[in-house]
Amino acid sequence: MSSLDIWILSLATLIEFGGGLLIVMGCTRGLWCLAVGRGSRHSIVGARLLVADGIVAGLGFKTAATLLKTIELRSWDAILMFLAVFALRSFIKQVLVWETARL
Amino acid sequence: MEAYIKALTVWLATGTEAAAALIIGLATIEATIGALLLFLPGTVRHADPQIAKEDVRLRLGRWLAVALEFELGADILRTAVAPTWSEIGQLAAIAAIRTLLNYFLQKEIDKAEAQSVTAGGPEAASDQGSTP
Repeated sequence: MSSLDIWILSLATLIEFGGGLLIVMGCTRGLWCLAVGRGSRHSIVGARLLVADGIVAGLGFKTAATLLKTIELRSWDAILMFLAVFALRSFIKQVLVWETARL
Repeated sequence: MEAYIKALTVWLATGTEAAAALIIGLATIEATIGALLLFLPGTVRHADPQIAKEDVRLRLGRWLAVALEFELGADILRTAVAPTWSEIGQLAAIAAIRTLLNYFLQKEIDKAEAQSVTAGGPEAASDQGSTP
């Protein structure tokens, strides 16, 4: 693995972690919304929207990181695993975008 | 650095799952109290006991939908630390189940709310007042 590969992989890890932080932030904002709204119907819907927004934003980062990590793919097993994670994230993202539009 | 970030991600996922567990626990307690109150005369705010029961059920459903959203967030966090096929497969299955569960739960809530509004039930009116 070249030194450039290591740099890109480190960058991908950091971007992926940033995505993770966005998801956690969305969940924290959702919890805050629930606490402030004292569990009213509107606060529950608001919390779901905040969490879904956080997840969608985080998934965007995670997808970018996953694409960066393609430089490491040098075996069929790694490529298939990458595809599985990518498909899973894309599926969840599509469902959440659809759900957000419905809420 | 990668190992450290992965460990941190696992912690964050665990924290998110703990938040979901807390929501489910509190929602269940609230629903249990709500259901028990239905048996006490004079404590139910609706004339129709059927609507009162539906109210408790819908409220629990909404809480569960929020908790499922949190759990999905935790699942996605864990995709960053799933190196084996078995773990990815399990994660995909759980994420798919939770997504479907959330979808059907939301469909049920929408249907019940639509019925409640048509019947002039309390859902639409009562919760409008509790807007934060």
